Amino acid sequence: MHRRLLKNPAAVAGMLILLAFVLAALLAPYLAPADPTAQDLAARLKPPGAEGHLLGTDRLGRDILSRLIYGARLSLLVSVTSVLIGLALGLPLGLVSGYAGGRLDDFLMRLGDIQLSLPFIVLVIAVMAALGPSLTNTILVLGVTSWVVYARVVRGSVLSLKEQEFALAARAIGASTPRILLRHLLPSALPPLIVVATLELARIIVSEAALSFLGLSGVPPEIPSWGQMLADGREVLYFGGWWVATFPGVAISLVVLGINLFGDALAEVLDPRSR
Amino acid sequence: MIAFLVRRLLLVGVVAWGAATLAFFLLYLSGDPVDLLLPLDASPEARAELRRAYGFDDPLYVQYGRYLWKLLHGDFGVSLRSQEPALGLVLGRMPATLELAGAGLLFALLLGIPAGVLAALKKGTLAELLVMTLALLGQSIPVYFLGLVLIMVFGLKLHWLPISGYGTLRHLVLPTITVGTFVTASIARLTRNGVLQELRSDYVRTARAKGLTERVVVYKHALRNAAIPVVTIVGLQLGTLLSGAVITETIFAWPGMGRFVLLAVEQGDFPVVQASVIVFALLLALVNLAVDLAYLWLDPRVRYA
Repeated sequence: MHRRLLKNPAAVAGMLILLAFVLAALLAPYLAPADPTAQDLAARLKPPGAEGHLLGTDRLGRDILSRLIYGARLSLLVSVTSVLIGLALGLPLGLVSGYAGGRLDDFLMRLGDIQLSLPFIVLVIAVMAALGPSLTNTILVLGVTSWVVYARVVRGSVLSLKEQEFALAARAIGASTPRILLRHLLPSALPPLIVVATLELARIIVSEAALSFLGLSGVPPEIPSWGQMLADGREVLYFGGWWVATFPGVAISLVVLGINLFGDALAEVLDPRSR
Repeated sequence: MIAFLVRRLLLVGVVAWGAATLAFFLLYLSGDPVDLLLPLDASPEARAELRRAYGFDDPLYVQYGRYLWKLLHGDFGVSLRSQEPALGLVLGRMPATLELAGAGLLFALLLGIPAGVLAALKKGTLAELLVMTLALLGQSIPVYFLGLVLIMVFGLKLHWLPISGYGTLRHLVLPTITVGTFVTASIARLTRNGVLQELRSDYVRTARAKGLTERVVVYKHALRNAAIPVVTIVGLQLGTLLSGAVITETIFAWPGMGRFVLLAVEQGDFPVVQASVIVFALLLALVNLAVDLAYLWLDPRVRYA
């Protein structure tokens, strides 16, 4: 499987982008040329290439390259924790829903339908307005609302797997339901789930930045965030400061592109039918 | 057919009820609903008065029942800011949102479908590579960044188009591209896959074997059937389209429901937020119903018994 991924140039490009993203997040203190929060009002809105500021500075004279590198930390933190929260909810619910069927299944799936019948951003805006903006709430809301994506995928896999011979055989020899679910069905249900979780990382990164952009994420101002940088950049757009918004925007787009490239390739490798 | 319509309309009702329930419990998420309905510096007397007026001391199920009952009678609460009925305020912003989302969808269909068909018919050529690369980029650029880029290039640099406001066709151009690009890219990719799949199918081989021209095979046979998965995708993308519209409206100062709900959040006007949630859900449910009806028309196999 690894070999087939490495043979796919799109997958390799995606992996390289993601590697750079993760390394930037992990090694930010060593990579960043300056303190991302240090203000220098004498060097406000310096264009890219200005002395000491490869990508220029923002309205407060903060170094954009450094903020970009540190911003990767927030995106990585929010996306990974939110996906884990979503998986922790959606995976068991999908397993049970698909295996048990009946009323529980009906209830959970209708609940998912209702949730998906709201434009995602409206749902998140409304919940954040009620809870009050904070980084914890942002992670919780993005994580909890994504349960339905995972639950649907797992349920779909379980529905088709549970009637197959290996599952029937396990039941026939008296395996307990948890054992059938976890030992027999879950491993086969994992590949599509991994693909979806990968693509969800991108959706969460975009959503968190959207909330920050709209001023609803509650990320403290001292933590550099790509969405907040975009919002800052929007305000200086009209004074010619194109670089303030452009670099964080390119960073988000690149990471999403990397995830999409990698996710698509992963889907191809993991799904034998698409070979 | 009638039974199908009734069932689908019932589903719209269920969605509306779900959204109303969410809107109701949102008030209690923060702990005390009074906090969301009054400014933080409100006097204890004002708080007690509101608590009495809204009946917040009643049991929750009584309050819930009362909330639904009021909704059924068109009472969505009153804006804390303007003291006008929240429903009317939200509905007043709907035409602008419909205009933007509709234009975005039209843009996506008119560009995405031909691009996808082209990519499928020219498989393996530079044209396919170009379409698929652009589609991948279109799916990767977040709507708010795309909006800013369009503003920078076509508004501030080239001065071709207005960057904010509403009213003329020229004002519609940049917001439409902003809101429509992601959906265009999705439609292009899925149209390509759908057409490729149809071109490999038995009936296309039969059509070719009996000597039909390639034009008839592609346009009369393959494309018709490829239209069905495209309609499915359009249906699935409508929520994304509306979410994109909310953000796009904010960027371009477009006077629709999305910008309105965000303003309401900023001003702490919670009844308007609640009304918006319900109206957005109803709107999406009704549009999805329309998509289902489009199936009936496209696919004679679908009978919805």
